[in-house]
Amino acid sequence: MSESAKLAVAGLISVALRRKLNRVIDVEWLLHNDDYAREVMRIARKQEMPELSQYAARMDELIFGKAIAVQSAPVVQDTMRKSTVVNDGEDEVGIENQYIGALR
Amino acid sequence: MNISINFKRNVEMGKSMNWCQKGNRKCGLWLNTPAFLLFMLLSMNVAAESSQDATLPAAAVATSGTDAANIISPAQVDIPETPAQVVVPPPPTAPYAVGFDKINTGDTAWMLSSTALVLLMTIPGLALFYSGMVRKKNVLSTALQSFTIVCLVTLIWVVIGYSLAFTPGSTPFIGGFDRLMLNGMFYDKTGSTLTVSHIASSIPESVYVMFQLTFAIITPALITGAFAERMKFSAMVVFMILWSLFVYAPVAHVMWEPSGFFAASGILDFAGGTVVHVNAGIAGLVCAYMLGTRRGYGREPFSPNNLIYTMIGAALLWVGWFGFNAGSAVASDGRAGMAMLVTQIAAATAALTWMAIERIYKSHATMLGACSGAVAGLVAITPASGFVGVGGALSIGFAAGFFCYWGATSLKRMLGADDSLDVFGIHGVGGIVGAILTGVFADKVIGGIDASITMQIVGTFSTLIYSGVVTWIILLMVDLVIGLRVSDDDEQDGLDISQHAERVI
Repeated sequence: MSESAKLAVAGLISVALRRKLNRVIDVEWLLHNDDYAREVMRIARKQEMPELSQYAARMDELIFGKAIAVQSAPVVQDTMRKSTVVNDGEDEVGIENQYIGALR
Repeated sequence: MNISINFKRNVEMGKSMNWCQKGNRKCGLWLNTPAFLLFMLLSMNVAAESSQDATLPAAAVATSGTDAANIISPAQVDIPETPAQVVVPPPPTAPYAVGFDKINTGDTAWMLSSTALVLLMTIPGLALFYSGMVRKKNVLSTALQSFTIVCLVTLIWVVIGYSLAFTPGSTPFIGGFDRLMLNGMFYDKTGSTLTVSHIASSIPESVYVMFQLTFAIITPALITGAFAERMKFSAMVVFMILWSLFVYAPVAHVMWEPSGFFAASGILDFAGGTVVHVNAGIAGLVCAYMLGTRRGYGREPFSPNNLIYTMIGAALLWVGWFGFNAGSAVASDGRAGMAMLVTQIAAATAALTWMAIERIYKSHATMLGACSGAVAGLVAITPASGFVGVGGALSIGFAAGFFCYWGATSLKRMLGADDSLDVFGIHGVGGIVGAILTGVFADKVIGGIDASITMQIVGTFSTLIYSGVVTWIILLMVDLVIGLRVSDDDEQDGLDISQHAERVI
């Protein structure tokens, strides 16, 4: 399957989870780490939302194939993490601030 | 002696018919005066001697397989020995058929090239220019808006837009329906005939349709910068269809079709300072007011995701602008050369002016500032490009850099609208500055006409009012039926995911 198809479904899962659980997932890591992907699918199915379940099933199919998708997913506690950007340097903060309320 | 009149060559005599009917709107009146008849008589012999084409017969051509009712052919005229007895036929006022020999291959080659250049301005030029300035989560949606508008407006243009804009109508404010579905336009290889527009008699009408189409495309595409990052894709599609029909087509007709109200009033707009930039600028401002500010506007930084995209886009706009301005001469002649020269000068001057102001007030010149300044200069020189010389270009470039910087900073704060990518600050303000300064710097030696500052102001502010009001009405309608804004959640997630289920890595 193409990377773009995986990315599109992962994006939809990300949006739905954030709205339902206010939980942010790392979409790119989801595509590259099987354990993380299984855990995300497990959480998605647990919500019992048809939309999320559908996305999870589709993602299982894209990443693992249907046969593997039915295997129990090991719980991985530490792989869920927020995808936030932190700017520590004062210079970066200053550059960012120039775009508050104006582009130019 | 029988000499058939070739209208373009005879009227030319220092100013081309094409310019006469597109760039110089006073010609709409001038062509109907006795002075014009006298001028035609006096110039006839000179034209006959100086141009081989002028001696070629321009008899009414066969219209086999076409709708003859839509075609007006210049009649063959016998020129007696005494000029005073000559009966000069009226100039064509609608598209008409000619033989292949009436087509100027040099003009046609340049217009084909110009058309490609102007289309390049929208995709990928404007798409990249805007996409680089939005946040990463909205890159694809912003680029897709430009791409979609190219497709939408193309269909609108061939179905009805061209007819409404560039054929004469029953009023001076809108064209007719003679060219619905481009009905009546033809190319007949077996009969060696084809149609030409009465506005551009030396190139095939198909080329003129395409050239003007690219202008009709980029104008609504410019507006997308004002509502970036928050408008529903479906609402944008409907809005652009209605806007092209009810705002762009009438404004283009009024300003560029010889029977249009502004055209006949002597208001000058060589390449679209008013039709394109003032029009899009005010429409963008109204959109910004109607959609409201983005979430977090004024509190959070909305950092451009990639200014290299913006630089590449601005560079493509700059290069494409040579087709925009020099192409508006509708001829590969010296006037097109002058238009190209002043375009380059104004863009460079405005970019340097913007950077100098940034250096003074912010202590550093920026890439975004350089790109913005260049575009500001290009916008401002657009209405003037066929009328001014080097001095005028330098002045207009400097003024554009100064006023557009003010427009994108101080004026933006005063207006209080979240015009996301400063469409009004650059295109609106730049268009107004350029349109008015055209009246100041227009050189009769270059343009063949004196400009009126008063009339330029009238034309500019009339367009501002018409475009602003009709845009507002269209937005109200779309808001009622579809809704203009995406939900807060969708906006937070970004339009790439929420509207298109795609994402840039």
